[in-house]
Amino acid sequence: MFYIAIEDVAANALIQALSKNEKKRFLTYMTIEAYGNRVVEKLNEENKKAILIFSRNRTAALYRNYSHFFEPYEENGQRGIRLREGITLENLIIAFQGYLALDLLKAFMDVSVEDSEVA
Amino acid sequence: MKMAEKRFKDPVYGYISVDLNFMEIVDTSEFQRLRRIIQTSYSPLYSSAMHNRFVHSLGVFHLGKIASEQLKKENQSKSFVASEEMERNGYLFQLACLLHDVGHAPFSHTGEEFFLGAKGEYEDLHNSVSDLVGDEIFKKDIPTDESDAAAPHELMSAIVALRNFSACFATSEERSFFARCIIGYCYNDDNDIGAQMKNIFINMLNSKIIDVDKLDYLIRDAFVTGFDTIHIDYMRLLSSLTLYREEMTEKICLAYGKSALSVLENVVYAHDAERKWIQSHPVVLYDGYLLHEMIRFLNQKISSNTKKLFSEKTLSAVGEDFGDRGRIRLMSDDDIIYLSKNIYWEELGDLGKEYYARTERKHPAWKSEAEYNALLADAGSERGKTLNSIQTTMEHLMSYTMDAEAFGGSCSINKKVLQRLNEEVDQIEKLKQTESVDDRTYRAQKKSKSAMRKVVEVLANFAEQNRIEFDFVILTSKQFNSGFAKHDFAELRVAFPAKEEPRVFPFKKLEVTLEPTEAGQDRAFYLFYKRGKGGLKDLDTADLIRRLISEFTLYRL
Repeated sequence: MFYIAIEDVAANALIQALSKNEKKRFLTYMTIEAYGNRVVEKLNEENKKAILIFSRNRTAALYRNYSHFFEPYEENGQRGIRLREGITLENLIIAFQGYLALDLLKAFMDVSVEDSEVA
Repeated sequence: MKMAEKRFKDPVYGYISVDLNFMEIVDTSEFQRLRRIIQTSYSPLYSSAMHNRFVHSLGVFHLGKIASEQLKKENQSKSFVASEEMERNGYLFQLACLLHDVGHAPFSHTGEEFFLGAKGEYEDLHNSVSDLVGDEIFKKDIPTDESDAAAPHELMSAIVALRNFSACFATSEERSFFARCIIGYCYNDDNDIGAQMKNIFINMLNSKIIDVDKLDYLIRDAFVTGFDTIHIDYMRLLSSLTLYREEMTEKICLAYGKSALSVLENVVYAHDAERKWIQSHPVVLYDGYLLHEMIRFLNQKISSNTKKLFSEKTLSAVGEDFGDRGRIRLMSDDDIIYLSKNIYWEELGDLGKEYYARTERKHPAWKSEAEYNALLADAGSERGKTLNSIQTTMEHLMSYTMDAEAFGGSCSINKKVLQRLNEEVDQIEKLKQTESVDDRTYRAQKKSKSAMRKVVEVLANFAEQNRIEFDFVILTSKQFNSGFAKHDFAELRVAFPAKEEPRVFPFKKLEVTLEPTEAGQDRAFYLFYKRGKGGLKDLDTADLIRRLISEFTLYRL
C-alpha cells in the first residue's frame, strides 16, 4: 500500500509541468488532486493499492514543513500551490523524486498533469 | 422541583454547569460513548493521562459558554446583530462545542483516516453531512479541494450529531451553522453581517489559530499529565474577546483585548511545550505507532466492500454485524482492545505482543532531540551538510518504508528493505539505459537510494555486532506537528481601547517573541531497536552515530 502525501503529488505534478513549460510554476488544488487520483488509478490497474493523504491539516503541514519550496497562491479565483521564487526544476527533482519507490515514480511519470488539468 | 442545570465537578474548572436541555444529550448512549475514547496518546509516558473525550467535551462546552456570553455582551453594547439572533447563535455554538467530538474514532486520532474512502477520498463523508444539513448554501461551501477538507472525525461528529439530535434544530440554516462550527467551513459569502458574526463563532470552535477546543486540551492535558507548563488564564483570555468593524472591509471581526496579551503568549508556549516534550517524545511516538499499526491491521481484516469497521454504523447504538466476529456498536477503545486480544491475537503476532508487553517493546536509541544532538556533538560533528544529509536520508527512509505490506510493518528497517533497495538501485540503472527516466531523475534516485542503502547497511552491521535483531523502526517527530503555526498566531488581532472604535493590530506588530521559525530547524528522528535475549542490554548508540557520520562523510552522501 502506497501512502501518497500531498507534498509528493504537488511536487511531482509541478516537476512535470515545469519540464514542459518553464513558466508554469502554479497548479490549482483541483489539478493536483485530479493528478493524484489518476496516479492512484494507475497503480490500482497494476494491482497496487494506494491511498492519497489530503486534508486541510495536511495542506497546512505542507506549507509549514516545505515553506522554502511552496507557497499558497490564487490565480483567476482558483486556489493552489505555487513554487517559491528561486526554486528550480532540479531542486524539486532532488528533493521529491529521489526517494520514491520505483513503482510510484513510474506512476507519477506516466500520468499526465495536462490531462488532469482538462479533467 | 426540577433543577435548571446539572453541575459536574471538574478538576480543571471546579464545576461545569450544564443546562438540563443539554443534559438530555449528555445522557444519550452516543455521548456516553465518549467516556470510553481516550483523549490523548500520552499515558505510556504520563500514566495518569487517562482522561477521555467525555470530560474534554464538557470542558469545551464550558469554555464555549464563557466565550459565547462575552460575544453576546460585546454585541449588545455595539448592536451589530439582533439580540434574538445572537441568542440563537450562542445556543447552537454551545451545542456544537458539546458535540464537536461525538464522532471520534477509538483512540481519538489514531485511526480516524479509516473513516475515509478506500483511496482516501472524502466524498461519502461530505455527501452524508450535506444531505443531513439539507441546505444549498452549505453544499456550495463544501470545499471542492480535498486539500481543504476537515479532519475525518470532525465530519463524522457533524454526521452523528445531526442524525441523532435533529430535534435541536428548527431549520436547515441552523443545521448548517451548527455543522460549520464543528467542521470549520465558514460562510464564503459573508457580505451580510449575520454571516460575518456566524463566521466569528465558527472560528471560536474550529480555527487553526486559537479556539475553545485547543484551549481546553492544552489546559486539561497539562493538568492530567502533571507536566509542568505555563498557566493559561482562560477567563482573562475569553473575557477579552472584542468585536469590531474592520476599517477596510467594513466587516465585523474578532480581536483579543490588550489585557490578554500575556495569556496569548502563554498559549503559544504551552502548545510548543506539549508538542516538544510530550507529543514528540519517543515513548509516545512509538506507542502511537504500534496502535496505528494494530488498528490498520484490524481494519483491513474486518472491513469488506459493504461493511466498514470505521463507519457511522459502528458508532451507532444499532451497530454493524460482522458475523462470527460479532456485532460492533457504540465502538470505542474497548472494541479495538477486544478484537486484538480475542479475535485476532494469533494473526497479530509480534505486533500484539509488543503492544501489550513492555518487555517485548522496541526501545528508542535516544530519548530526546537534545540527547541526539549530544550524541552528534560527542561524535565530533557540528551541524552542517553531513548532518542535514543524514536527517534528510532518515526522512526519505521513513517515507520509503511506509508500505507495511511490503516490509512487514510500516517504517520498519530490516532485510526486506535492504533487498528492495538493492533491487531498485539495479532497476534504475536499467531504466536509465532504456531512457525511461531523464538524467536528473536518475541521478536523484541513485543518490537518494544509495544513501538510504548505506544507512540500512550500517544498521545491519550494527545489529549483527551487537547481537540484536536487524529490525528497527524509524519515526520522525515532524509528522506529529499539530495545531497552529506561529505565523498564523502572529496574525491574531489585538484590540486597544480608543474613544470610538478600538485600535486593532496584528500580534506580530506587538511581540517580537513570535517570529516564525523554519520547520527544518527542529527536525529530529528516532530509531527504535529490539533488545535481543542474548544481545547487549544497553547499546553504544554513540558508536552508531559515529558510524553514520563516518559513512556519510566518506562517501559524500
